[in-house]
Amino acid sequence: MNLLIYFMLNLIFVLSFIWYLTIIMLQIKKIIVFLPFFIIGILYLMQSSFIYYSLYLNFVWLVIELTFLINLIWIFILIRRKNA
Amino acid sequence: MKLGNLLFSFLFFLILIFGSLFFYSLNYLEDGYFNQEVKNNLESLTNIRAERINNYFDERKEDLIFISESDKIKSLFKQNTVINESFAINDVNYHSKIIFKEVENFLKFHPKITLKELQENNEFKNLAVQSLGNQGYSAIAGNNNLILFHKYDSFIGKTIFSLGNPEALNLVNFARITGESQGFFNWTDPDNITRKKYGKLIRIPSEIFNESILIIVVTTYVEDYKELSNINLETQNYLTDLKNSYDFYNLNLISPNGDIIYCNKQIVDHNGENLLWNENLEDGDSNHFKIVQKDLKPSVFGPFITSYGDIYPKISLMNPVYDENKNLLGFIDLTYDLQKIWGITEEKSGLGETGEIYLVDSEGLLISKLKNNDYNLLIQSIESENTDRCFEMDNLGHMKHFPVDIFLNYNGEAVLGAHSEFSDPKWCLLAEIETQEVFDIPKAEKEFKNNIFLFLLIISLLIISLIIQIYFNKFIILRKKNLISGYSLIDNLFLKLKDFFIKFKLLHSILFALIFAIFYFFVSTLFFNGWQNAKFYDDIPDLLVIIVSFMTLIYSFRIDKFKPRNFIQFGSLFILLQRLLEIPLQEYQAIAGTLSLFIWIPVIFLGYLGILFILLGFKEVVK
Repeated sequence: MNLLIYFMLNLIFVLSFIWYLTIIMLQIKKIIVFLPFFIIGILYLMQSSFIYYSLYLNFVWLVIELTFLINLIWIFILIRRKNA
Repeated sequence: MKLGNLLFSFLFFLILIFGSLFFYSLNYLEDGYFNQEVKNNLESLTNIRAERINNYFDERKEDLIFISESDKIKSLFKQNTVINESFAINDVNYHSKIIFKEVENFLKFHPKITLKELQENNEFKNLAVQSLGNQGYSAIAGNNNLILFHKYDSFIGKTIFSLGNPEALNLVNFARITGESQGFFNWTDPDNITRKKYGKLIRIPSEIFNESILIIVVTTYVEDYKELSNINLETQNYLTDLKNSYDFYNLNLISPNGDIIYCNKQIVDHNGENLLWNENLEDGDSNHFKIVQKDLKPSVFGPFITSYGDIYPKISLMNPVYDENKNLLGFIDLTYDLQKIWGITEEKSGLGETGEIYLVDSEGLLISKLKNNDYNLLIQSIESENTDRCFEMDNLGHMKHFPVDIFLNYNGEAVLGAHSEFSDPKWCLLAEIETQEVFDIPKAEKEFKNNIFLFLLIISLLIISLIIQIYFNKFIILRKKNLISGYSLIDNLFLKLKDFFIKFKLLHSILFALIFAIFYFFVSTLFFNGWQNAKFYDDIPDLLVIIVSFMTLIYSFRIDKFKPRNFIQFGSLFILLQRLLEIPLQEYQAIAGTLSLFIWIPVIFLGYLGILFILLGFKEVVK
C-alpha cells in the first residue's frame, strides 16, 4: 500500500511536470533550451517505474543519478549564459 | 500563478512535509517503533527471498511446458522401444551388493541361529526374497543345490538340477566353488514359460554361517528393461542442446505406464526401469510420477536423493505430454540440483551476524544448509513454533498469528523469526535472527541514532522559520538593494549573504562547494558506519549534485531580475537540502535495513519541488 501511494504521487508529479514543461516549451518556442528539464522529467518517470525493484546498488541507478547530474550542470551553464 | 501564491502554497506543502518528518522523528525516539522497523525489515526480507524462489520454480515450469510442446519430444514418445540387456546387468549388480550386505549383517547379528530357525524367520525371508525389476527376484540356495528361499513356494525344497535348467545349475556350481558367478540363462517358471534371465550369485562365507552353504541368487528378467530404439544423431544433438540451454541435471521421458524410455544420464538403478516397480516405489521420482499420473498437470516435487554420493539433493518437475488429438503420450521429467535455491537462502545480506534463512519440506525435514552445518539434510526434523505457524498458513496467510515473532529455534535459542510458505512444492522458508543481536543494541548507539533524528529535526525547523520569516516580510528586503535599518535580523543576514556571494567567481564557488561537500560527507558518515564503510554508490552522485546545486545557489545572487532569482535560489536550495538529507538517511538504512517510505516521500518531493522551481526561474531567464 505504501509503495502504491508513493508510486501514484510520483506519477502525478512527474506527469504534471512534463505537461507543464511542454506548455512552456511551446509558448516560448525554444525547445532545445528546455531539453535538460525534459530529460530530468523522463529520468523521474523511469525512477518511479523502478520503485518495485531495489536499485540502490544497481548500475541502472548510477546511470540515472549521473544523467541527472549532467543535466543539472547543463542547466547551470545555460543560466549563466542567458543571464550574462 | 503569482509568485506570492505559489510560495504560499509551497510553504503549506513544506510544513506538511516537515510535520511528517517531525512526527516520525518523535516515533523513532521510542523503542517500540525501532522494534517494529526491525520486524518489518525481517518480514520483507523473508517475502523477497520466498518470491525469488517462487520465481525460480515458475521459470522452470515454463521451461518444462515449453519442452513438453516440442515436436521432437512428442515424436520420441511415438518411437518403438527395444530391450537393453546392459540395464538388466546394472540393476542386478547394484541390488546383489545390497541384498548380500543385508543378509550378511543379519547373520552377523544372529551368530547362533540355525538353518531351520532361519527358514522360519519372517524378517530373514523378507531379506532373502526381494523383488527386482517387474518380475525378477532374489533367492537363496543351500547344500546340494537345494532351494531354501524362493518367490514361488512350489520351488522351495527342490534342487535346481530337478528343475531342469542346466545353465542356472552351472552358475550355482561355479559360485559354490569360487564364491561368485554371474551370467545369462534360460529359466522356466511354474507357468511353464521359459524366459531369458540374468543373475548374479554370491556365496555367504563359511565363517559367517557354517551349518550349510548359502548362495544368494539375484536374478531379473531381461525383457523388463527397455529403452527407445535408434535415436538419430539430430535428435541426440537436440537433446544435448536442451540440456545446455536449460541447465537441468537430467531429463527423463516416461511412458504412460511408468517405463523410463529415455534418460539423459547414465544413472545406476534408474535407466530402463519402471517407476512403479516395487524396487523403485520409495524413490522420489516414483512418488512424483504417482502424483502427476493422477493429476495430469505440471508439478514440482522434492527434494530427494537420486543416488549415493550426490552433492546436491534434486527436485523433479514433471508434466504430461499429449499428441495433436489430446491423447496422452507419456510424461516428461526434468530434475534440477538444489544449488540455485541454496544460493538464494545462503545470501547473508540483511541478516546481521547471527541471522540465517533455511528451508524445510512438508514433513518438516531440513532441506537447505544451516549456518553452522551441524545438521543432516533430509534427516533432521526442524520442530519449532516458527515451522508450525508456517504450515498452518495454508490459504489464510498470517491471519492466525503475527508474521514476525519471537520463538525458540531448533537449538532452543530465542530468535526473532519470520516465515513464508510455498504452495508447490509445499515447503517453508524460515528466517531467524537471534533476539540479542536485533534488540539489545548498546544504549549509547541507540541514543546516538535518536540524536541524529533530533539533529535533522532542528535543521528542518530552522529552515521553516527562515522561509516563513521571508514570506511575512513580503520580500521587502529582496526588493531593496541596500540594508535598511528596522528590519529583522534574518532579513539583514540574508542581505549580507547576498553581498558576500555576489563577489564569488566560478572557481571560488566550486572550491567552496567542494570543501563543504567533503566536510559534510565525513561528518555525516561519522555518525553511522564511518566513511570507510559508506554507501559510496549512493553518496558520490549525491555529493556531486550538492556541489552543482550549491554553485547554482551562489550564482543565483547575481541574477538581476527579482522573480527568476528567487525561484532559482529556492529551487537550488531545495535540491541541496534533499541531497543533504539523503546521505544520512541512506547511511541509516545501511545499518537498520529498509526505512519507511513515509520518510522517503517528503525528502524525494523536496527534490521534485527544487527542479520545478528552477524550471520556473529558468523560464523567466530565457524569456
